[in-house]
Amino acid sequence: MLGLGVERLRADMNRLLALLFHQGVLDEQYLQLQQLQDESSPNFVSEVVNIYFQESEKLLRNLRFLLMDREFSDYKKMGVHLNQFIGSSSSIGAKRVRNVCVAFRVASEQNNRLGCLRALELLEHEYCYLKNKLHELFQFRATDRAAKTASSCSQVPSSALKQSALSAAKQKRKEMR
Amino acid sequence: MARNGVFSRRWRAEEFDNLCPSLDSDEVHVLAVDDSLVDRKVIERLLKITSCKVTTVDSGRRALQFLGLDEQESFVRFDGLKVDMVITDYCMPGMTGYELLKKIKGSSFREIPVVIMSSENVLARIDSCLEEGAEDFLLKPVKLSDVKRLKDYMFSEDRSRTESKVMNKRKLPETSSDDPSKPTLSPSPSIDMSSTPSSEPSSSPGTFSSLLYTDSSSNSNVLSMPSSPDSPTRRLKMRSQDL
Repeated sequence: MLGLGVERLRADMNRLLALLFHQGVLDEQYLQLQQLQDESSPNFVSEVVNIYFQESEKLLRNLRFLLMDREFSDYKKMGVHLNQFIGSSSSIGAKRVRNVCVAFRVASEQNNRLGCLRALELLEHEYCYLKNKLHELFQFRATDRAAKTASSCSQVPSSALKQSALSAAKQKRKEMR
Repeated sequence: MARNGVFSRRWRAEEFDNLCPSLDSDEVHVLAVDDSLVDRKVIERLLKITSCKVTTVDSGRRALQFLGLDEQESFVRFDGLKVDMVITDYCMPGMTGYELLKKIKGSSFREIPVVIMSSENVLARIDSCLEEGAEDFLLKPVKLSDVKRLKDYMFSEDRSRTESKVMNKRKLPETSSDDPSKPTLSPSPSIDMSSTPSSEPSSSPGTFSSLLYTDSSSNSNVLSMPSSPDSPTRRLKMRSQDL
């Protein structure tokens, strides 16, 4: 039973990942990050992504603040923030967020306040979507890991050979279902 | 090997991440410079996975301090710490990667290879970095294959620098399945990966220079390489279309 649950979980997780790729929300750089994760650094992806979230939210606040000034918008500073946002987004494979930032940057270079406001709204939307989906992915992983730990515990026979043989047989029957 | 050391330098430890006081002399020690924390984390991991020791700093100034080149921090002192390579972001507030490169190349540590990373594929920028003596120029986002190739190229046993130092811009076609156990690139008709002498003027087998453009006429033409669906070249093409 436990075996089936884990498999379904993994299928769902992979489906979500495939969807995000298909939607262009993530690109191959995200896979690259996953490749860098292993036993020595088992939480690498979520660590990097959490840093990205923190930095991004700061940048979004700054951008909104800069645009709120109706008298004078510091487009140059906006450009600096956007460059940072573009860089970090591309480093984690956040393709759609990155692309919106690029369009935003174009608007800021043209001192186009309306264009910037629109871009900011779109950026916030894309960022929110990305964040939610990545949290979902991490949730899958966490559950998957918990399930893995639980199943490996149940497989450990406690004492005699007889008992271990019995539990091994039970396990085999489970897997065959 | 380029083993220019930082001798007798003391520095304020709390200013730098990733101290590595016990340096195995066989391990390559890389100083990574990037103002973005996300990028620092990624490059650090990339380098660690390729068995390098890594020190990350967030600015050119910190990098110079670490190397002991910052004029103001002349009392800096750290025994036994040697930097084998510097890899730096180009766009940084304060001192750019280019300025850092110039400072290093104009110092007593000019032999230390410096690699520039940039998210912008600007030929003029690449050229000026190379002219200032940059070892290589990597396009961000940096991948494991880039770092592996860099390490193999610069720190392999029988490495030898060739006269025609062709710049590597990650243009070579790669297989889409990035197999970590295979540090070299997939063979293609135009790239000679074998140990027999290639058409490139490289003297030793296994050096990366033999993997670089065999078509030397395409040196400056970034987009002319044949590209497979997931190749860096295609990525470059697409990126320039994006912008």
